[in-house]
Amino acid sequence: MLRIKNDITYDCKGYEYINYTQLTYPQKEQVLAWRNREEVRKWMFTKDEISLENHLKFIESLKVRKDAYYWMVFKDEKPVGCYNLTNVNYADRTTESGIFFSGTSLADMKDNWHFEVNTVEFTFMLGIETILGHTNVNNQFVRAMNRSLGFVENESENCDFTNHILTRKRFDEHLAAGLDFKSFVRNFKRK
Amino acid sequence: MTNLEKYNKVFCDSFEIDAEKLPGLKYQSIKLWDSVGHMSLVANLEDAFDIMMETDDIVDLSSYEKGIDILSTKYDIRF
Repeated sequence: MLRIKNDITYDCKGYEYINYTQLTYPQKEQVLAWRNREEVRKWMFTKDEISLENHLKFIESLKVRKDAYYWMVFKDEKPVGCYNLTNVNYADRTTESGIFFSGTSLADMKDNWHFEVNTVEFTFMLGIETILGHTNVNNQFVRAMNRSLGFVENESENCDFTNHILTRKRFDEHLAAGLDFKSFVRNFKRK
Repeated sequence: MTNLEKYNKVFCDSFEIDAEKLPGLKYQSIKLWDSVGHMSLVANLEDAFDIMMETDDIVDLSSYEKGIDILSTKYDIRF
């Protein structure tokens, strides 16, 4: 049974997922600062900066929603990024996902990869069977990362974005075949 | 073509720059050497020298000079 709760801090293989509704004020501010980074906004559907007032209103609205869940994610007690599930469908156990990793250096690239893998494991841990998503067509880094995890891309009605889909079964097959950072590099070659 | 010429060509082609700008070049010091550019660089180096780089080497390749150091010490490529 698919059951996701706002007031639970989830632990998935060393990563802690704390729902936005449970964050401290400074943590909420940190999330907004990340969201408003120019290099983040350029990949989004909505490219405008979000005000603190609207950000806090949005978080407040999440308290009663059952179709959307947003988490700030921690590793070794340090915030590493954010993850969200939207359009959660309880009947067919599908969802759309969104991810943000805070690191920007070359050395962070491997951590980015591990975080991305963990978010998928976390999603399936919650009981989801299929993850859907959209990626800006020019965001080659994320598209290669998605492909290496087993996501299948297909055409979108919005030509600026690709659709991608990953089932639990396909992800398990990729895990069994050996998922590592090198598989991401190989996928980059096959773009 | 020498290995250095081959190495320089990969950088020049990957980042669309002239060879004289290569010394001192670092990750994120030019627009095209971002995360995407870096993965292209790695892929192109692997193809040019017929090697498969280790993960630690991929994330350590932070500059033009560092790349020469990694390829010569870890992959036995003589410059």
